[in-house]
Amino acid sequence: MRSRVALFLVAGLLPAVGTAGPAGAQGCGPTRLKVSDSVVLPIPAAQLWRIVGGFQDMSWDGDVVLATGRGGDAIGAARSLKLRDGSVLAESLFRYDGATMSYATHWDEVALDRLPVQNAAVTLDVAADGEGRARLTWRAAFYRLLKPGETSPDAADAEALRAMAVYLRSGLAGLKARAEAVPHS
Amino acid sequence: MAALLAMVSIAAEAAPREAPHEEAYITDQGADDVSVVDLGARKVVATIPVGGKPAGIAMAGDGARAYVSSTNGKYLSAIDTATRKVVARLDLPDECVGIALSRDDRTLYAVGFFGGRIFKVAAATMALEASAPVGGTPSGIVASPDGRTLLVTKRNADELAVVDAGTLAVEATVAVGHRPYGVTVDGEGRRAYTADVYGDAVSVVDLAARRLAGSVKVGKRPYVVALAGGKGFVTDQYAGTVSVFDLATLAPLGRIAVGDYPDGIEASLDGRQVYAVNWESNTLSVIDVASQTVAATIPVGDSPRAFGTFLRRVP
Repeated sequence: MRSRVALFLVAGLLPAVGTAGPAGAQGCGPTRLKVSDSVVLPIPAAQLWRIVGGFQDMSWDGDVVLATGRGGDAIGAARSLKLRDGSVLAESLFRYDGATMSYATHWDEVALDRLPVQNAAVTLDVAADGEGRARLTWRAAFYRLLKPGETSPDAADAEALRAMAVYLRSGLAGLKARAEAVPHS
Repeated sequence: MAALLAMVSIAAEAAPREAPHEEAYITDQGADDVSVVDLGARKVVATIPVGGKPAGIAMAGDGARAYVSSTNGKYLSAIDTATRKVVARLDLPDECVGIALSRDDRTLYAVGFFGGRIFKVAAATMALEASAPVGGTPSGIVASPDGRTLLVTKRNADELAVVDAGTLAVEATVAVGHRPYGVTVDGEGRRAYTADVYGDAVSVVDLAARRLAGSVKVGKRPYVVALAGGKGFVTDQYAGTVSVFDLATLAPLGRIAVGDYPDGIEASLDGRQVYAVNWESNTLSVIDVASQTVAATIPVGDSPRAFGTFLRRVP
């Protein structure tokens, strides 16, 4: 629950810069941020989707040590991820389409010291990338966490972008390592 | 394949043969510039550096100037559309997203996202004339057609404020849905429409009675409403769609798949097209109002917002 404490602590201080109470921590900001990353694997798209397409199965993600959840792949389903550094990321599913091999989640709770972002939504897409190859693309849309006494919006944006990029990269690196270690069928 | 080709050919024929010569000025927040799109040729013809993460835009009624708000930079820029250059800039003490012009183009208004103030600026000189509190994380702003009032969404208060355009005094607040962002007013000043981001709905406000007249369910995370052909067109950020509803009955009329995270949206001057930018896809969708289909998709700069009025008729 460390992350929840952090969320409310920061939110409680936010009126100092003139914005809202607790809801502000999951509100939006004036400047939108996005970052995406992808990995190509030498397996067909359908096979890659079988590995990554289950909302409740994050065993492919190199940064996730434990995943618990409820609701399967239904809209509104929830999952809680324990990351390698011990922090927790709680997400809910708001779009899921097995036919197009895509799903999208909203970050409901996040360790703000590691990921200083708010109102993040992340989309996972699988698509064919040439013969017998498939690409997993992970796209995040979010806002920087608004901190009291913020002096440089650009610096805070850069910090949020960097943290999100590292998160996506480490997850995809795990998938690539796993795919390369396992013989392909 | 034959069916696909047939559809493509129908779509091509449905496009107007002689579209009025219009341009779109698209604030590319990630690219720190404004893309000028020739809507006849359907391509970017110029890029104007603005800086400071531009988001909001207000186009003068005569199309001679475009005004842009830069969020991180905390300033407003005036762009001469003939030379396509920034001709004046005003620094403000806050980050503004929503900006709007008075109907006579003489006064520019901006709302400060954090400090909650409304700023009144002489458009010709870009000099700050006055400011006043409105509160509630003001996001969207539009002038009423009679020029007497401004309508401001107070995002964190779930309200629409009616503000005296001269004195900046808040005359009334109307309770709307959860987290209103963009606000649009009809041509007669009869109704205002707010896109309620967390409510997944559009609130319809009766401006004479100053009360909520209705609500329409739309796609997930709506941002802005455009009005054309007796219909409302709403950008649904998370859904990647534009929801359509009937302005008279408020009945839903379907959803149009556009790009990812659609943001600013505006009806063309003749009301036959609606233009919506897709923030994540870096594109501009051209939507045919009558058929409710996407007629074209035009690449623009990085992270387009176009939050406000961004279309101009080229003289």
